[in-house]
Parts: sequence; C-alpha cells; structure tokens
Amino acid sequence: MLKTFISLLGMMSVIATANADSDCVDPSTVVGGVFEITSGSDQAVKSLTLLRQTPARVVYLMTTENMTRIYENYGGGRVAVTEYFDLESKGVEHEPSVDIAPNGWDTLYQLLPSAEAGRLQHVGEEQYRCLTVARYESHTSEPRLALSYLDEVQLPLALTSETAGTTLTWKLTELVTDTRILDETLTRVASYKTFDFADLGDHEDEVFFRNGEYLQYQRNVHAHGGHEH
Amino acid sequence: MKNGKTKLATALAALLGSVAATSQVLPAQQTGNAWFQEANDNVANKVKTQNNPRLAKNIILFVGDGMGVSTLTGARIFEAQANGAEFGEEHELYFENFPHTALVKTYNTNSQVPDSAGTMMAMVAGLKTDIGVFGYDETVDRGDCTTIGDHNEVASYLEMAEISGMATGIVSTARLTHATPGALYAKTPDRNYEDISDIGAGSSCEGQIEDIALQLVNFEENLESRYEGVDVNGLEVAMGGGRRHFIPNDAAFNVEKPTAAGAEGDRTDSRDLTAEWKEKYADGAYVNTKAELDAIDTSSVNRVFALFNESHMQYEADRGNDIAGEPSIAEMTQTAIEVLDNDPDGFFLMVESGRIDHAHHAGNAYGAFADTAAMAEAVKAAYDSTDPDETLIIVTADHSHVMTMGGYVTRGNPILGKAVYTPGGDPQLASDGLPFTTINYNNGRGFCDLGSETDSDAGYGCPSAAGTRTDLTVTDTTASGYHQEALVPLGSETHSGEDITVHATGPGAGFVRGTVEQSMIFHIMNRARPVIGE
Repeated sequence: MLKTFISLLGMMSVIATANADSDCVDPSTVVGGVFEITSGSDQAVKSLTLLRQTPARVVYLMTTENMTRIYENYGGGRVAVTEYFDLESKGVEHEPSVDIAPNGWDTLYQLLPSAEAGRLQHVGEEQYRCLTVARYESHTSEPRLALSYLDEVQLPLALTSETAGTTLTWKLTELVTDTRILDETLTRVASYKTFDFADLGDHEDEVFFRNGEYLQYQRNVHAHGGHEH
Repeated sequence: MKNGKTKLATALAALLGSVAATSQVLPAQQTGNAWFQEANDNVANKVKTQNNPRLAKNIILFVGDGMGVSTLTGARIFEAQANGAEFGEEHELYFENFPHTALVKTYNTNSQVPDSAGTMMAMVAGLKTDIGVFGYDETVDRGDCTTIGDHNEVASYLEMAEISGMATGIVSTARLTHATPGALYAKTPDRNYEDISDIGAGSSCEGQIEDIALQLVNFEENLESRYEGVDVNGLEVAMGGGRRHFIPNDAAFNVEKPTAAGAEGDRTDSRDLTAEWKEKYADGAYVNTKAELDAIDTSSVNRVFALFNESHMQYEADRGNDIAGEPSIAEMTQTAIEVLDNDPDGFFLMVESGRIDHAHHAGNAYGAFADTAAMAEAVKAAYDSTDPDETLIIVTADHSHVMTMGGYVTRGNPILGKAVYTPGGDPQLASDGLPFTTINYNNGRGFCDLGSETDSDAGYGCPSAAGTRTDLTVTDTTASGYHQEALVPLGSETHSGEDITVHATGPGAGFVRGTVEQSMIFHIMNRARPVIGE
C-alpha cells in the first residue's frame, strides 16, 4: 500500500472530481472509507474498505482478493499486520517491523504520508458533503499526480497518477460512519484460525499453507499491486 | 581352543607392534602437522572419557531446533569468518569438540520427515510418537481428545526428575508453549493448543484438556494429581517467549504493545496466568525484560518465570532491535543455572535455540547460522559454570532442514557468498550463465534480497521466487537480509529427514556413540542420572 502510494505521488495526471453530495457528514463520525481502485493496462477495478478502530489500528477489507488485513502501529516506525484469508477462515500474523510501512504509519492510516503532501502544489479547494477538499497537483515530472484530499477526515477523495500511458486511480465511493461493519469484521476474523508467520513451516497439517494456495493469494495481491506492504 | 588363543595373541602382538611402529615410521612432518595432532588429540580425548562410570548430578539438554548437519557445518564457518578467520572450515562450534558424538534417526512414528513435537517426545520421553503430538504415545489421533487417556499418556524426563527431587528448568528462544519446551511439561493431542482460544469450539478437546500455557502454570498440581502421594515443588525456571498465551485478550494486560494497537494477549477465558503463577509462587521472580532478569539475585531467588516477548523471542541477529530488551540465550542459560544450582540435589535443564528452525523456514541461512553460533555460546556458558565431573551436557537437534552446501567452492570463500572456484577469482557461472551461492534450499520461498534486514521473517513479505533463477551478480548474498534461492515453491521451507547429531560431555556421555534412535537420548540421560529404574 505504502509503496503504491508513494509511487502515486511520483506520478499523476487527472484529478477525479468529487461528487458534491448535499448531505453533510460530521467528520467526527467517520470511521473509514470505501475506495474503488483502477489500475493496470486492463484498468482492472478492485475495492478496498479502510476502517479505523483506533489511531493505532486500521482494518483493510480487500474484497476483490477475499482478504482482510489489520495493521497495528507499535510506534518507532514498527507496524504489525495480520493477513486474513476470508475464504479459508485463516490468518497469518506478521510481527512488528519497520518494513511493513517503511514510509510511516500515515501511509496506512490516512493513505498519505504527511511529508509528501507538502511537496505537491496546492491548486484549490472545493466541498464534498460539507467537508473541505484540498486539491493538489504535481506536473513537474512523471508520473503526474493529482490528489483531492479530505483533511478533516484524513482520507483521499480522489487520486490519479499517470505515467507512460498507465493510469492508476483511487476514488472514494463512500465515507463509512456506521461502526457495525467494523465490529462485524473484528468479530469475523476473531473466529479464524490464526498462525504466527514464523510457524507456517510447522503447519504441514494445514493444506492451505502446504499446497501453495497461500502463495497464490500473495501472488494475486502482488500482481494487482496496491495492497502490498 | 589353545590354538585359537595362540592365534589371537599373535594377532594382537602384530597389531600392537604396528601401532607402536607407527609413530616411528611416519614422517616427522606428518606427525608434527597440526591437523594430524588435533585429530590424534581428539581420539585420545574420546578414549579417555569413554564409558565414564560416574553418575551425573546435573543434566543440561541443549536442543538446536532444526540444527541439522549442514547447519552445523555452515554455522561453524560463519562463526569463524565473522571472527576474522582466514578460512573457517577448520573451526569448531564450542560443542563440536565434546568427546562423544553420535548420529540420530529422527523420524516420527507416522512421518518420514518429522516435526519438533514428535522428535522432542523421543528425546524426553524415550519413545517415538506421532507428528504434532506430545504427552501421548502413537495410539493418539492428532487433535482428537476421544483418543487420549490413561492408556496412552506418557511422562517426560523432566517430570520424573521433578518427582526425584531435582530442580527443573526450561529455557527457549521460542514461545514456552511451542512444541520443544511444551513436550517437557504438557500433554496434548495437538501442539497448536497453546492457549484456550486455540482449542476450537465444538472440537472434541473443548473443555476436555488444559491448554499448553495453563499446563505450564499448573505443572506442579497436575503432576501431583497423576502420581498418588507425590509432592513436588514445580518448575524452578521457565524462560522464553509466548506471553500472549498467558494473558487475556484485553489490552489492559499489555506489556509492550501500545494499548491503542490492540490486545497483546490471546486468552479468551479472561485468565491472567502470570498473575496466577505469582500467586502460587510468591517467592519467585516474574520478569519481562533483560534488565529485570539482570536484577535478579540468583543466590537468593530460587524460581524464575520470564516471558520476554509476546510471541517468539527475537532472532539473535535482530535482538538489538527489541523494544523492551531481550537477553541472549547464553545469558538466559547462565541465569537459569545460577538459580537451579541453588538446589543441592542437582538439576535438569533444557535449553532450546528455537529460532534456527524459523530462520530456515524463512529461507534465511544468515539467521540460522547466527542463532546456531549463539547457542554454541550458551553451551560454553553452561560448561564454564558447571562442574564437568558432575554435569552431563548433551547438545543435539530435533530435526534438520533442506539447506544444502554445494559447488566446488574454494577454501575460505564466504560461506554465504557466491560460489568462487579459484582463490581471488570471479564467481563461478552455472550453465544458465548466472552466478550461484554455496548455500541454497531445496524448497521454500526462494530468493529475496532485503539487504541489511536482520529479521529473517521479513522474507515472508517477499513474493515467492522459488523455482526460478535470479541474476545475483550485483547482489550481496552475505548480507543478513539475503534469502537463498530455492527449487520447489512452498509457502515456507521445510524440515528434512536425514540424521542429525548429538554431542555430549560429562558423566554418562560415553553412551553417546554410533547411529541411534532419537529415543535413546532419554535413556542416556536416565543412565547418567537415573530418575526411573531401567
């Protein structure tokens, strides 16, 4: 995720225009957002729902990949992640590491490294559901980047990057204010059989890990980009 | 008969004559050669201590999890080269100069390639059993509590040592609830039942058995309940990782993890087993950090429970990055002996280097070698702090891994380097035109270059590259974060089934020789310090 976003900031072209919904949203009620991500030469579309449980714990629902991830901020640059494979009802815990979010917790929590925003040119503001949308652009070098950012809820409204004819687009399709989806997700993954990453080699009894299905999941995630850590 | 005796005497005379003549006829440059002398000294040492009739007062069993023969070879070269040796192949890990060595067959009763549970059972219970099981013989079906009972429950050497009045201790760099340490004190049809949340709702084991963490804390009363009239005082030392299995799934009980990041503990029964342990043993010391461990007065404290990490402890190469600070395996061993030694009746201590195995599973030979070298230091610490005339020290592994060392690499080439065939030459190219490394894996995830990363498990974040070749021309394969190439793509690298070694010194060590079943280790310990009649 992190690497992808950084690459986005290096790229960019068009800004997706925000929908000016009439119903206002109280930023204090926002627990996350649903994003539509379009990437690759085939412009494949996938969905990501980001949910914040606490300032140090975020949930990613990766419905396209049938995966759920929970990231936890241990501080000092160390982030832990548990990957849940929803079709298998299994999880793999990765211990805290600086490698999971090498550019900082912000890239997971608000999808924007704070330091990077300052490097973009502020080109204007608009409104989205009574929230201020700050618009940024970067045309100085490829990839070209355009970003619409909701500062009050710390989420991008739209992000587009373009380089060498390849366009990657993130678009916020829904702000999540109902905490039930978060609660349901946490309850769901708590019922999964979860393994420590270091113990996978000792679980020869688990077909999912033994026969390569686990690797196939990971290949799919890497192949589509956008969610790797 | 008479003729026979004469023939035998003649033969012996001829043999002795030839031996006596050897030193006289061999050239001085040969008998004076350091290699020759060292080998001669080694044999003399073995002869001197063979069949030592003394009984041991103490027994220390070191288990390098996954420390197969190729790991020993690689680690000894790694350790030497890390210390500036010109070559390294001639070096010995500390325990490799012990006077007694044997090869060990490791298979489980139902698996040609074993796991740590079945192999540890062989070592500490004297019999082989199924993969994934401890505390029961092979009649158990894994994970099925309808197949366990008094008819197939078995005891460990540690339990018998406890009953015989010895002090007992466990040290591990893995979770204390992991298979190797768990086999000493717990009985379970599935090694994965580390805490109550691991026992699936609706399974045959729900409500039927105690989880492994609970069995550690309840060790004393559980043992007393199994043997009528027995009064024991419990484990004196338990040090390692695995805190998550002893505390509730409630962030209020976190030790290291920030509260906002979620709960550190896994227990779903709201029990804080660390508090229960402290209540049972008010005179004991419960610690979470190296600083707290160092502060213990081992002359007066007779019991220590240490949980240094929520899961496994850090790899030795990565230990400096731990937030709270963890002791080395040598430091834990030293402290454990100082505590156990307070008991005049002697002690039994098991020390596991658990993360050799994990580094191999992650396909990172650097991590495996570094942890092997760290265990060798722990063995030295044990030897230096005990009386060799009264302490049997056994160093062995539970199983091996599919790591290989190959190519006709020149002497002194960096063990983690690219294969170079001539001194000072360029890396040898394979028939595909690409360089290759001396160390590789038969299976696993394959190549990944993480540079100076010291956490072997970071490799699980890399996409699998097994089954393909990578151009290593500009890659520093000696870096700690380099993960070796592998042939067969699997989610993680696997154990292997070839023999491992056992090394021993002290009273009873003379029994260690030949090619033996792994279950022999229990019987060797029991001959050295009998805890049951055999």
